[in-house]
Amino acid sequence: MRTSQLVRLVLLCAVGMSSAFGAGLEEIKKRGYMLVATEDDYPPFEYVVNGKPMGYDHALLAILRKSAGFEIRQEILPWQGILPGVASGKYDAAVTAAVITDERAKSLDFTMPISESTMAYVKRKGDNRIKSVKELTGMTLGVQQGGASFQVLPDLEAELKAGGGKLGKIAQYGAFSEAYQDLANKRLDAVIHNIVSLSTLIGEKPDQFELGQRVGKKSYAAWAVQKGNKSLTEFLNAFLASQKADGTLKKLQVENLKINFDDLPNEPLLPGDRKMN
Amino acid sequence: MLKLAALLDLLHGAGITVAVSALAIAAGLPLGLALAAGRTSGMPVVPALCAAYSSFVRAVPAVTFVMLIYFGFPALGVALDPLPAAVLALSLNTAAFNSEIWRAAIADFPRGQLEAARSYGMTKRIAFWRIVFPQIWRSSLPSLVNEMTLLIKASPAIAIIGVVDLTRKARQIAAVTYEPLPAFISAAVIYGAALALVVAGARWLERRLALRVGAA
Repeated sequence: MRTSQLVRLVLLCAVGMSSAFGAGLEEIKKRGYMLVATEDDYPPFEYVVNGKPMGYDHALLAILRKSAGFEIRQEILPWQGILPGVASGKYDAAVTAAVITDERAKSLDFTMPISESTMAYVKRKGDNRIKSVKELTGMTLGVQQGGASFQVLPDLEAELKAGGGKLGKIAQYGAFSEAYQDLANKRLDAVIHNIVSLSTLIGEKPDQFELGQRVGKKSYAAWAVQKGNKSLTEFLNAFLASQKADGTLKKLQVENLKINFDDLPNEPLLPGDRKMN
Repeated sequence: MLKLAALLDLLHGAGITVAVSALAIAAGLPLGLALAAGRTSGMPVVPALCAAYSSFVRAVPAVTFVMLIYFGFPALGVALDPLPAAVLALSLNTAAFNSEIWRAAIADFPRGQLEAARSYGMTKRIAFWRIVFPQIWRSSLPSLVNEMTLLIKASPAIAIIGVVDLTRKARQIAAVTYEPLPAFISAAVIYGAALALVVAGARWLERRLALRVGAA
């Protein structure tokens, strides 16, 4: 896509021009606040209802606000602006469910996972042509441009080829609500997204859609900070680890995500449970 | 159908769209005129700089330009909040397009009138404000209004830095309702109404001018 290439170009320019590092923990304490960026259309993690931000990450942020010892300022913006903003040092952290991928790990550091984020597919309810991942061969699939659903496609293609199938047509969307609409309109046969978002979709529209199997490698979503900002990463990790240890993380998952993960690791892992190097 | 609360939320976004666009239009008109004056000034270097600015800004998509100002400017020591950054980006953007309209009008201006004004002893500056400007702004009005409508339609680009305009509100509503159509159709109707107002206002202005000075 032309636009995404341009966005990437701007990102590179912004990173190139920005001072080498975003604010570390010391600097944040000195200036008295931390600036985080969250998304506005990513239920159940972050979304906005009648102007009020809600969701799993906001519940975590509310707890962090009480314990942090400094002010936490927040800007709410579309996904496409978030990682460029963190990479350029405009925001100290992306408090969003950013999937940990090899490509992103090159320009960003991640906290420990806040959720599993393995990809899965969703189909129209009662569409009997698709019973498992194998039957996605040749089907038209919806993904998000630049998103993890797009990056899982090579894995899916390998999986389909191993079974003698092939990857069908791919349609890229800016937002998943439009992809779901096109799935309902039969312009798509399935939409690929993370298992949490799809669980929420099924909870909202049980008559229209049906959750399929997981696709590709097991992966995780975490908060992101600028590459090399160790002190802030450690601070956020300590916070998340304490929330996990006392059961708060699980409670918030049940309340917000409608699915919970008992076995989240205490360090960021690349897809397929690989360690960061 | 949208719920009432969602509709009110959408109207809040429409307010942002209208306010940011109005400020950008107000700043972009004189800025465009200044650029056009610079280009036709005959001074050294200035025309080339103005031309380069106009070409660059017109070539860059609005969304990229907005990101450049918000994420790139802090490196130059200019850190703006999202709303001022959005107004600045749209102003600078529309100024480039306006400057082309002003420049065409200035280039088309009959030289004879200007020479006559100069031979009456008017300075270049006085001649511009008394003779040239009153005529070119009238002849440029339709093109300028067209650029205003294009600016309003380019304004959703400001959402990328967190300014929640009409289109972004529609997207937020679509994300939680899982039904994009009602939200986007409502937004389209509001855009239509806003553009119709701008165009109607311009028509009214044109008619009044025609009455006052006769058909130009």
